[in-house]
Amino acid sequence: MRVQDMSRRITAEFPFVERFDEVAAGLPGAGLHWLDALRRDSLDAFNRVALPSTRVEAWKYTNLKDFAKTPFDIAVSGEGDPSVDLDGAGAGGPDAEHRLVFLNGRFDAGRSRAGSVREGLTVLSLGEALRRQAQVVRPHIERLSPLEDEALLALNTAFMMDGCVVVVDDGATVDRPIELIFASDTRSPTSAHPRNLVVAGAGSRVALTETHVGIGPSEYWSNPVTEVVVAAGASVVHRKVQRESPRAYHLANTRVTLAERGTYRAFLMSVGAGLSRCEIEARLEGEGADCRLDGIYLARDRQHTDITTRIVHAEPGGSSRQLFKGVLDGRSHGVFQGQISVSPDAQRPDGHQLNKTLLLSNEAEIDTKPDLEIYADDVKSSHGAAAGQLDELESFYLRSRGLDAEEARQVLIRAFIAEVVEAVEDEPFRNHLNASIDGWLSHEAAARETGT
Amino acid sequence: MLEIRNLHARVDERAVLKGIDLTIARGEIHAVMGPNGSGKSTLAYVLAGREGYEVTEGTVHYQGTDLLDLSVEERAREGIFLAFQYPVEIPGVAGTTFLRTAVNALRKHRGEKELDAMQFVKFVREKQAELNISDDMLRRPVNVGFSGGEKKRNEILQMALLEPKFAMLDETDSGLDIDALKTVADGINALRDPARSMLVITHYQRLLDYIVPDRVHVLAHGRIVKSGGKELALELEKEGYGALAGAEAA
Ligand SMILES: Nc1ncnc2c1ncn2[C@@H]1O[C@H](COP(=O)(O)OP(=O)(O)OP(=O)(O)O)[C@@H](O)[C@H]1O
Ligand SMILES: [Mg+2]
Repeated sequence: MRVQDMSRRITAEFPFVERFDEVAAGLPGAGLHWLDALRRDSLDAFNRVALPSTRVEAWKYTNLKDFAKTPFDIAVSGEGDPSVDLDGAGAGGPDAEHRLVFLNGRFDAGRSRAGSVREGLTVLSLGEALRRQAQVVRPHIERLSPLEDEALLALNTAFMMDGCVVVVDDGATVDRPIELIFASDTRSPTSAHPRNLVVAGAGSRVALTETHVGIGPSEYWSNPVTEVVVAAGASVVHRKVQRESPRAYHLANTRVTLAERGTYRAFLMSVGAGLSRCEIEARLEGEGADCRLDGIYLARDRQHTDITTRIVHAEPGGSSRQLFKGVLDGRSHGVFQGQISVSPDAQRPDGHQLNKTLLLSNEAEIDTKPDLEIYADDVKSSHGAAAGQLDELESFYLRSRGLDAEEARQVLIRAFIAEVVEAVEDEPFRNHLNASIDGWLSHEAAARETGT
Repeated sequence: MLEIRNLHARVDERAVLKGIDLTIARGEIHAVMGPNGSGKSTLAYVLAGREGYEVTEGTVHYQGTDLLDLSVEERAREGIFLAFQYPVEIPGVAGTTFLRTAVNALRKHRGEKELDAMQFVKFVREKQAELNISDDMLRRPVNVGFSGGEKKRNEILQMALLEPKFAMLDETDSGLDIDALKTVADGINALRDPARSMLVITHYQRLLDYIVPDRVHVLAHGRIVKSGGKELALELEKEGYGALAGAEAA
């Protein structure tokens, strides 16, 4: 065991971690020898590594100290409160062809439409997949874990509760987006550890939409891990809306690998949670792979929102684009860390990254850190970061045409993020986004009205 | 309609307007000329209510009410309009959306029904054609990438749609080619109305050939140093501001 510098770690004593044996016995796949061993190894890894402190470079701006003190447990019930209405939670509505609902991390079969296997497509809950097709799931889950210095990922592997497994066969096209809803409704501090796997076969096409919401009065922690495998020439669109309740901790990890000519397009909207961090890693492991990450973050009050991306150009001719825009009000704190790393073999890659933040109050803060690690020649790469305030002259221009100050402000905030919203091709999802943005803006307006 | 008395204003701690007196009656067109930096745009901004343009002395009455008491948008809704010397670019806001929001803000204020997207297209079409503004221009973000002349025509389109009672045109003729100047002047003349007053800021007599003013004022060093009829513009064109501005400086 490596000797750890204690200032780099935060030891947490989460009750559910201490009760591992008892909890693990009730988790999906219990009794599968390889999985039991993997969970055990991952737990050891978590206990060894512990949570990162702000002394760890990647966590410099996001402090987990208060989080670590919360006595999180794990939800035991499988079904959740049947009266909770989740019909309107996602972009596709209750009629989505494939809709998987997870309540407090557990698969909620009653609210889901899954298991439907049609030509070329398998959509299952992780629990079901482990029962029916463990051999498909196993190599992926084993590959991703456990990793040094990845405490949250290790903990997810140790406690993975459920999640979705989507497998698209070679050449298949899935027309309608697969909808995933992760909802929390808890009365005491509870954690959920969803684990999702998306495997897009060669030349296949598929789109997914994830929505994360919270209803209950208590603090909770969502720790989802999603692995996406994009085979040669496949195309995956992955959209996510994080609108957890203000008492939530949302710490998400998305890991993507792309083979040659594979494309991955992600859109992230981060608007909820008291503290959130969405980490996305995309590895371009085949020639000519193409990755695009876009996102919006909106925060107010004391919200903390962190977006951390890492794009690895491992092979020649790949391209990556990132555009993230944020609006911060109150005493909120935004973090954008974008790492682009180009390995020596990856000649002629093309990597671009842009992050812009609109600061609506003097107390709001953004830490933005572009980080380029380039070991190759002939690289086309750019990054930019900017933060600014609403433009007085633009606001005056609008008001001189009769818009009131609040209207002008909303028009300008919308205009600031319009570029990212308009790049979303799927219309229902774009409408869903716009509705979330409207909700955020009118809450803003009301809060300003009452002076809170 | 508008009565300005002894108006003093500061911008960024700097006194720019130093005692303006000006009365504009209903239906009249007044021209304001004067050297660069004399305070013409500042006067327009102060009347429109821009933040940071601080009135330190004097009064402005508009249709009998104290104009300086009103916010920017209240003034706009009461019929005050400013065609900007440098129209502002607003990336991310489509021209039509902007125009419709503005028109509806005023309609709402007047207790009229707001126009939906279809109704608005009809409403704007005729005026758009008169001012030679393409659909494409309106689809683009407000003023972004517009040529100087396009921006000015866009300002006049807004004036035509908002039908103000008191319009200020700040160098709307600058940067226009001969044809565009004619188009814009026709647009302005079409809005001449016994119930509508205008303040036209310009450097050129040329515009005043098209839009014949009732009065011409010369602003220098923050004060009106001379007023006269339309022939004053011709005089200035010949002799420049030298004598007037110099007299003030002395
Ligand atoms: N924000 C500001 N801070 C400081 N000084 C300012 C500011 N805005 C304007 N001024 C000054 O006020 C004076 C008057 O400016 P204004 O724009 O009103 O002139 P103008 O008569 O419209 O000139 P032009 O003919 O060039 O348009 C100028 O000296 C200008 O530098
Ligand atoms: Mg000026």
